[in-house]
Amino acid sequence: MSFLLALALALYFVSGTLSLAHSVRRGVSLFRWSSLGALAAGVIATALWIVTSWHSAGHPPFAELHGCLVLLALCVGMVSLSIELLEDVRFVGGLSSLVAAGVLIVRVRYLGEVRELPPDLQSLYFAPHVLSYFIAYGALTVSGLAGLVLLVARLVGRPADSGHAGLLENVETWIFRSARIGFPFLTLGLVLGAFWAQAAYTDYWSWDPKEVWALITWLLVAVWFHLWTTGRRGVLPAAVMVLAVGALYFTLFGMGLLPTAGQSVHTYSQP
Amino acid sequence: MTMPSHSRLRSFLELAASVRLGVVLLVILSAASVLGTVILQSPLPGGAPEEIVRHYGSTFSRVIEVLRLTDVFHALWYQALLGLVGLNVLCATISRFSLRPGKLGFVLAHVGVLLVLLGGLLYSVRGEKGVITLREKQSSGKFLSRRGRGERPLPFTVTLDRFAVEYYPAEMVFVGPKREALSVKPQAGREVTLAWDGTRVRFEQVVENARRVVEVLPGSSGPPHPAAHLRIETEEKQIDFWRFARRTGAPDALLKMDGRIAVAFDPEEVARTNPLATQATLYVINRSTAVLAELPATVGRTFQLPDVTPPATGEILEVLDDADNTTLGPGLRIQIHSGESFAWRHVFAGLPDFVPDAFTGPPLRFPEIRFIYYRPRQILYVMQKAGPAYELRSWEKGTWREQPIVPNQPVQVGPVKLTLLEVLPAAHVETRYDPAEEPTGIEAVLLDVSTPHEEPRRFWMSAVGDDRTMKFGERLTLGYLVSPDVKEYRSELTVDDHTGRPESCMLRVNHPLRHRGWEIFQEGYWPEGTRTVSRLVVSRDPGLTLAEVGFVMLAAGVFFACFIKPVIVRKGVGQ
Repeated sequence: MSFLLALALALYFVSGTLSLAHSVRRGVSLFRWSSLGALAAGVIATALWIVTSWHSAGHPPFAELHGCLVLLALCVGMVSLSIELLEDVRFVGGLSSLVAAGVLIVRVRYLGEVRELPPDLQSLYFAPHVLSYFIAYGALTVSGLAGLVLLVARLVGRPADSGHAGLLENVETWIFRSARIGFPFLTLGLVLGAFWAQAAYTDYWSWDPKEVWALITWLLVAVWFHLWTTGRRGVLPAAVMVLAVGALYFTLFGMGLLPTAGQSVHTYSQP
Repeated sequence: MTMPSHSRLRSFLELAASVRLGVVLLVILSAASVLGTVILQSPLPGGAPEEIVRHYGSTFSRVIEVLRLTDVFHALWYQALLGLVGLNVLCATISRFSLRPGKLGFVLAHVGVLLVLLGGLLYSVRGEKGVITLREKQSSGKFLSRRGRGERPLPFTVTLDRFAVEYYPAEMVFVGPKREALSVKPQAGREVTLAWDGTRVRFEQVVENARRVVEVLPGSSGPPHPAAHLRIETEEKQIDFWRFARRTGAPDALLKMDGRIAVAFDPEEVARTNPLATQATLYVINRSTAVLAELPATVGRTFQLPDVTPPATGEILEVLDDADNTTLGPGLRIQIHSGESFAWRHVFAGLPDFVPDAFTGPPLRFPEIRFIYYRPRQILYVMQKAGPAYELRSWEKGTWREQPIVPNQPVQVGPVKLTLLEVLPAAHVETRYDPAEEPTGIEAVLLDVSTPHEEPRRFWMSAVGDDRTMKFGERLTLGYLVSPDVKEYRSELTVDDHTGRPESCMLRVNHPLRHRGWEIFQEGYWPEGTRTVSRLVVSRDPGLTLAEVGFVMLAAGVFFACFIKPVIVRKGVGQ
């Protein structure tokens, strides 16, 4: 089964490199189509891994961080694929594929034996809660990358370049298009988590460090959403989105760095 | 002074409802929340203010103290910030309220946030939450408040009838000569091939709740172990049973007892040098029947288990001589205590096999050690004289008597009749496991193993007891290991509100009970002495429904705004 993931990793990497090559040297459609093909194959391989591990373990493979990261790679890959299919946006799709490959590499660090589900994880909320969150994480990762491309382009760009303006407009709409998927699922994940915590830990909200960071992420995305829907464009909303995605990745990986980590119930079983 | 007052009020309301204020408040709220995760929150690991000073130095500690940064989320300024956010959302909702379909997402999400905040406020004003700890058969009508209000009464009493912990099924682990390992969940009919040497293993039968059945058969692979088949008849019953020669190294060499009558078989007259004890005794023996401890079987006696790491001590908790149970007979309840773990065993005089009853903490296993409760009223001792002649020595009321015994001819000894049915010069024991009706805590499998080097072998293994490991020389080791992972724990409760009939119910993690405006949760458990304590949480949250409705509205609103509204807007543009 890890063969599937090695294959997916290679495919994401190849796809990302080809897509970036296409972003730099416009007009070579061979790059674009082979990148799309590799990305689609990578998404299928990742999805197959999740289906087979779910089947063999008898429960969703999301109790450990490494299983969740495969889901994240899948979601990033899927959003990136839809971007590439719908519109030829420079850099964002290629960077997303590379991030998906990176997530699969980081995953190895968190490998450990698959444990049985403890009583608190045996909940109907478990799979939808994690699925919602990782769909949101995947989509928002792409938004964050689009925001980053926009910020970098603004920093190094020449505003007189007409093609440049076209690039920015395209990239900017993609911050919104993937956040439109990410924000509702982020909200749904938070709400499902509240219902679950009410049943399992007797409180729908208990100011647990991971909960607080999930809230911070949600607040920052909400700030971006308010800026965007009131017509703000350009550097400010892009910067807020990049900050929000930074908070998101801190929620995912950074809990161990906090002095309050020992007070959290959201600890993945570590190897 | 130039602006009319209603216009000033209007501009104030505009500001209070503005997105700009909302955005600023949300950013401040985020920053404040970060503080609550980077500064240690109370209850502190050390608990004392000195801990803060040690951590952050004296100047910063002063800031922390004034701003209550060790309890950010309950500090007044943080709550006020939440209130300001709520006010902003309220003003925004009122000033932009509309029933147009395009506004539905906005209204749902913002009213949702308001309801969640209101629910939280109601809980902090009127809510109650606290812990009840109960041992089996204990009742309580009060709880210890988690909100610092001490002990509080409940409008009902909760009784813990039974508490149970269920573990995941045991696993079979195969270890090869180069420490290759494979672990498999046994399933009847499942076949496994070991990649390193092609050994094939088939799980013929899996019995999740098994009873051990022991049979004695002729022939033995190792040194010959003589065994005698005997019959005892009393006025009430007749028992046929096997006894192995009382010689070191033989299986079952010490006596199997029927509680009142001890019977031994000995072809080598060991008894003359090692007479049987004539008073109630607890023996702790190892696999080769060396006696590790021998102590009078009375309550409170303690003993050491030298072969167990971490070192273990045992204690006789109870003598169950009045237990009038024909299959189990008189027995002892003992407790073994090692490090963090406790184990309890029943040792029955008639059933010396070592069967665990309960654990707390990490599983405590000592398969090498057996306990025997020896409690004779009458001792019958069959000894082989020269050739096929046998002698019966009997002990009753403090005296020994000797008489000859001939196979298949009953001999009356006091109230019982003893018959020597058969003697096998070499015998072995075969064990199998049958499904049991009463819970035994024993999981067993029947395996068929074909290695490339040996004849195929069929044998039983149980996850508890001596036969949990099996060795094929150095080439293959099988271990049938009990899972350390808890699958479920549950409290069987009776809730009585003194008005009607008491209500019985089962409480599990993730499945709280609702009773008269209260919720009861299974939160945890811990061992206390010989018993397990179940920890329940009771909660009365008048804001819960509001918050739940608010959460649903929030999610629905954001979905609407992001997925459906753009479609509506696009259609509007199209027209």
